[in-house]
Amino acid sequence: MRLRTLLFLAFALLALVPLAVSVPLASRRIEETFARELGARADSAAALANSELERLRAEVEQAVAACATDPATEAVALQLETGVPPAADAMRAVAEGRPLSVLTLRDAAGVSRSSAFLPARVGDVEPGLAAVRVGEPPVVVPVEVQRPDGVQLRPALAAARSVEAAHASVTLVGGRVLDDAWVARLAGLTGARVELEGPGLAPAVAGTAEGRTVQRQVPLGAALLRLAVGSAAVDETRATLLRALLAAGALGLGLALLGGLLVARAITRPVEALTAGVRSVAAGALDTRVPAAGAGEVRVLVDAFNRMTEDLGHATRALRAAEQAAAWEGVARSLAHELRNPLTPLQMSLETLLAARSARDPRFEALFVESAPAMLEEVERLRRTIDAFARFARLPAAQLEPLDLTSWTEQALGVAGARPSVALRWEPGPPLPVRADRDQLAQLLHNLLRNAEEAMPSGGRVTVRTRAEGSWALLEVEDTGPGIASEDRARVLEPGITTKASGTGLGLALGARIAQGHGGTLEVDGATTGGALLRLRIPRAEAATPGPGSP
Amino acid sequence: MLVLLVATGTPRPAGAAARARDGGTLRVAALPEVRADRTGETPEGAVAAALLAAPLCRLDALGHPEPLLATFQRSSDGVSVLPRPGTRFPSGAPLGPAELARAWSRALERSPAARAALAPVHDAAATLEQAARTRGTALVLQLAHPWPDLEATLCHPALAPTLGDGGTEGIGPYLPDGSDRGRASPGFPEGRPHPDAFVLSSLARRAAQRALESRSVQVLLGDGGEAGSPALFATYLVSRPAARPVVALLAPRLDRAALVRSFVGGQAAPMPGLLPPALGGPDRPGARPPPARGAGTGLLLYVADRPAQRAVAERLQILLRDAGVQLTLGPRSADALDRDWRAGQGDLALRSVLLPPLPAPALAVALELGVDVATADRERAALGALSDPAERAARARERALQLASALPVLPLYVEGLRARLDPGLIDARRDGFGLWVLDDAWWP
Amino acid sequence: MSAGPLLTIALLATASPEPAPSLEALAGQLVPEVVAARPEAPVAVLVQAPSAALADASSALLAARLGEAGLPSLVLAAGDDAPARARALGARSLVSVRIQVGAELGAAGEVRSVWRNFWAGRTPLQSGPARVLTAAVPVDRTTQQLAGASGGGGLTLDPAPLARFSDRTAALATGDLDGDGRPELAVLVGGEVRVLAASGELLAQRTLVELPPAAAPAREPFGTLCIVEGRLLVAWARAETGLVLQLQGGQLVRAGGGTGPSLGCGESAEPASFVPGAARLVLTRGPERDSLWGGDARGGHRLLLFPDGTARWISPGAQVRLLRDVGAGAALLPWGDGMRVAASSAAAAPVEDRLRLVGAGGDEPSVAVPGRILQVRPAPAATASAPALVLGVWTSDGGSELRLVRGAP
Repeated sequence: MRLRTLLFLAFALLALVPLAVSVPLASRRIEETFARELGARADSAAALANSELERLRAEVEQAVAACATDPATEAVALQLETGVPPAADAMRAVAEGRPLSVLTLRDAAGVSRSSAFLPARVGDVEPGLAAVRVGEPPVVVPVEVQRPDGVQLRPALAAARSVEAAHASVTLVGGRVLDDAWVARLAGLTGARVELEGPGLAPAVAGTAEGRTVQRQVPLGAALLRLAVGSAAVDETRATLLRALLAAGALGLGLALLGGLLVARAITRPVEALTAGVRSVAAGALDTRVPAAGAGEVRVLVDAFNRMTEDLGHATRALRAAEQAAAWEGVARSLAHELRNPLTPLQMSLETLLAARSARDPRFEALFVESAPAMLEEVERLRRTIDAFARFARLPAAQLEPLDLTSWTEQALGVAGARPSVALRWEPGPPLPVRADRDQLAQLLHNLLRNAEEAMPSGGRVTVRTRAEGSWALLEVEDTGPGIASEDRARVLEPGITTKASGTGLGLALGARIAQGHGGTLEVDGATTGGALLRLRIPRAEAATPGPGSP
Repeated sequence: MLVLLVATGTPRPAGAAARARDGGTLRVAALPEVRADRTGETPEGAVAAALLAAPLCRLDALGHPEPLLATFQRSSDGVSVLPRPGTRFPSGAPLGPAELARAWSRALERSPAARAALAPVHDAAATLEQAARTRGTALVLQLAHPWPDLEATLCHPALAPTLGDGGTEGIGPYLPDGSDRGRASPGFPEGRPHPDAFVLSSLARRAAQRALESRSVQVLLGDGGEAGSPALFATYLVSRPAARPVVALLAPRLDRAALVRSFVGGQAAPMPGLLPPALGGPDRPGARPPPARGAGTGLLLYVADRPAQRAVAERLQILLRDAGVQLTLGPRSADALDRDWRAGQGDLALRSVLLPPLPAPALAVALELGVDVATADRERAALGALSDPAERAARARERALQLASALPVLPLYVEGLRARLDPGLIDARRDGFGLWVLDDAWWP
Repeated sequence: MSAGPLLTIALLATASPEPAPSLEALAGQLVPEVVAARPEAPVAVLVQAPSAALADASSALLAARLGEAGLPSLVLAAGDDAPARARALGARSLVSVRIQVGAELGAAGEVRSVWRNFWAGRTPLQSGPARVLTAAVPVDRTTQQLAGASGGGGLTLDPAPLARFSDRTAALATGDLDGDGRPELAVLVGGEVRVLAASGELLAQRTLVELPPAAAPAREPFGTLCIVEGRLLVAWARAETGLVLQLQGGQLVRAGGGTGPSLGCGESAEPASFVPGAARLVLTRGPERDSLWGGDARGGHRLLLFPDGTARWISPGAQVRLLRDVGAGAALLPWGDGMRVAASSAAAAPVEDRLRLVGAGGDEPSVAVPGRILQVRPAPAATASAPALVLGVWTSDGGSELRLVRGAP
């Protein structure tokens, strides 16, 4: 796994673990707190309802007391005595401006004689109000509420007072109907769902309680007040809180991951650059430099790499130059040696001649005629040596083209024809697609075959084979000659070394140069039969050759 | 020439006169429910409306018609109504048979009293429509059966001739001069009224009473009333056939005396029979069956502007609730109630009508409220065949007693005119309907 | 007790041998009813009667009889707020009676308690016995005289009206229409002309509805009637033109000729015209241009009645006498040896009007008449020695009556 991925994962883990621990803990605490709060809210709603009822009781009591002493009420009560009945709604004037919605004047028999809100019942006994007695605190009784669409029974908080009139006992009953508006107000105050109901009463409901609900009940005599507090709001708050928590966590995680990503990249980028640089250097681009970035160890590493690559480049160039210089040194030495050889006899001959002439030796003529062809031969040998060196120096760059080594070698052998003194054996290998210069390859093969032939003057066998070895294509020429001693194998490829009596000794060096130009090498080895084995090693090409070329 | 000036007698205060004094403004205070009664269906509304739109004729105390805007001529089969020549509407249009016919066509759509009055006319609606198109001097009403009381019933305020779709422009002693105001009409057939103008103001009950006591108004409509005046404004509970069971549940629980005492007030009296006591109807209810319980629902229509009807409707709602019936109340305006009831809406309705002061036409009104046309025609024909007024009246009373249980019309109570006049107002008199006629009124 | 009743009783005792049995009888009917009501003593007695003399006499008599029956009583003078005054005098009950003299002597009233319970609180309540009292007895002459009497002078009102109408009279005239030498009465009432005999019996009538209506009619019944040479000249304020009628065969038929309103009849008639929309006249000729309620012209005298309640009496010697408190019902009346003006009062719609005779001297006999006097004419049966007037009187029920007033010069 890449370093960057590893670092990133490490960061992620580092960020995730604390979150995974803290978020569930926090949400559990929130749950507990809210659950406790729901119960407390229900209790407070019930307490609020009770205090509201108390306030209403006091208000009703006070209003009824005020109405009982109102001169208008006394006037109506007195009118009752005269025998002239008061108007059914005569109490309306008394009720004006007072916070009452029940106000009835009833006589000793309990019959309603005048009413502000239910004048239609005058002359009858209002059943609900019969339960309201003078001197007692306000009670909740069912009263009739009359509307155009019908008459309903509703609970009302009512109190009674007696009215000071001349003779008969007249009672004033007043109160407030706990109607939809009151229930709605209570729902608004407490924030709960309020239900007010009782046997025969028209139910009144207001408010909402969503989600899980907790209920409290307040008994009111003729009616029952139910308060339900819902957790919807609470749930929503909790959900919001949790969502916020999760969002924060996710955000934190995301930031951590992003941060980790960025930090990992920042860390690994120089390392990767370094890795890429190493690869490119390995591939041969010795002038690769990794830009200096980062700090610390990575910087040290990068600087060291750059220094090393630079040094490597210098060293490689020095080596190459030294190689080249060594190569030319060798060539120059070889040339000097080769040229010196014929020059010495030539010089000796010439000096002899010169000495003979000077001494007027009578053998000069016979000596000159005997020496002149040897001198010309030496000059010919010089010219041949110089031509071979010129050809060596004049080796052009290889024009590589794809071909199949095996099929080409087969064709080239056919062209080469039979040799007079040696047996040629062809061991073909698999098709070996390579990139090679046909001419140069031909020259190389020719050189190898000639060498092998020259190494077996008394005849023998030459075996030519092609085979694959990994990513290399091999062309081997083996002979049954005396072979090459192992200490000579390295020097054989140098120009000028020859163990033959004739020849320039450039053949194998040229072959090595050709092999080098193909990206390969020419190897000298010993065959199992004791003879020499010369091997051409060139890299295989990826694609198959379109077809064998002709040599 | 010796001019001898001898002063005799005691000097009179300026303004004293043996003849009526012209001038001044007649100030009328009306309670809001009277003011809302534009068409003059209630007695008080009729008194106020008659200032601007007088009826065709006036009934005297004995029930004889005195022509005002038109005279009547009886022929063998019908009655011709001849508008008095020269009678004009405020806009200048003359009162002709066509205008009268149009006004009565409108009244037929609106008022049961008008329908009952014109019921004896043979095909009244078509006759009026025909007369509305032709030009003539007289509106000829062919009678489907003899009906000697027709002229008296044509004096009903509901048949006052008016122009216009709203029926607002009438011929009265005053000409309209802004809203709720009028100025004396010099061309009124009986002569211009003595005050130069009148002003109608809408006041609450206490304010109106105080205004009358402080003499800042001369007429108070909607409060008070005299015990001796005839009570002819009858209220019935009419029901549809489907609602008969509901009425049957109501009747045993209905105490008319208590209803009148507690909920109607004023000068109202219980009316146990189809005819009010003033016309010879019974004034004591019969025995009541024991109350029963039942079930059902119903819609009761009543006129929203009348506090007495509202109180009675609420009382009926409560009484029926005790009987197990769920009654819904449907307040309407007076016009809308008549229209909706005839269109089929509602199961019960409180109908208040000013009855004519004669038993036979009054019974015709009760028939019009409750019964199908054929039965009404039959009953009326039987009554109209009696030419002697006393006999007719007696027979009408008899039939009223007999029909009481058969008609879907439950009589409830009857009211007189609720009005009080300043004692200093001179020459205000009552007509046969019990309404104050203020045409001659003046003050020194 | 005031001096009045004592004097009257003395007068009665001396002047006429006949007792006043009707008053006694009335008291005899009322007292038991009062006693039956068991009012609390002392009792205050208040009587209202057509004349003060009658009221005083009857209240004194009633109080005396109640005292004899065991209820100490006192007489309350007429006035407002009788219960309060009774309480102030210390009475605990009030007997309040109104006496009317007509075809019979009638009394109606009530007895009730005026004691206010101190403990009743702010709103005083009526409590205690109350009872309606009625009584009726035939009337006798003495009582009638008492009712009509007021300081003497000799005008008496006949108790029974000559005729009653359901509408108000617009004009009155006397004269011989049928040629029998006895004058009849013509009345313009309710849009009709009616001819009555001197006894009040209806002879003929005719409606005026065929006359073209006036453009601006007068509301109050108003017009003029003249009987001249057997023809009845009718002018009506609600009609555009007048009418001349003749009595033929029990029918009033139209005769030729036209007519209009006039002041007076016959040769002394002064033509006039109606003021549109009002019950007024304007003289066509003559210097006066004011609108008049009417007037009279007779024997050289002219009487102009002005709407402000004054009148101008122009005697033949161009003597102009300004009279005050003269109502719309006034006429020139030959009285004894001279001319008098019989005038109603100018009170505005009184319940009881007063007819007085204005003459050359200061003495002005008068008589109280219930209702409003709107027309005055010499009665058909009048003679110089027994002058009489027929009055058109508007009653409070919206109708009218014809009443006779007799005088003794």
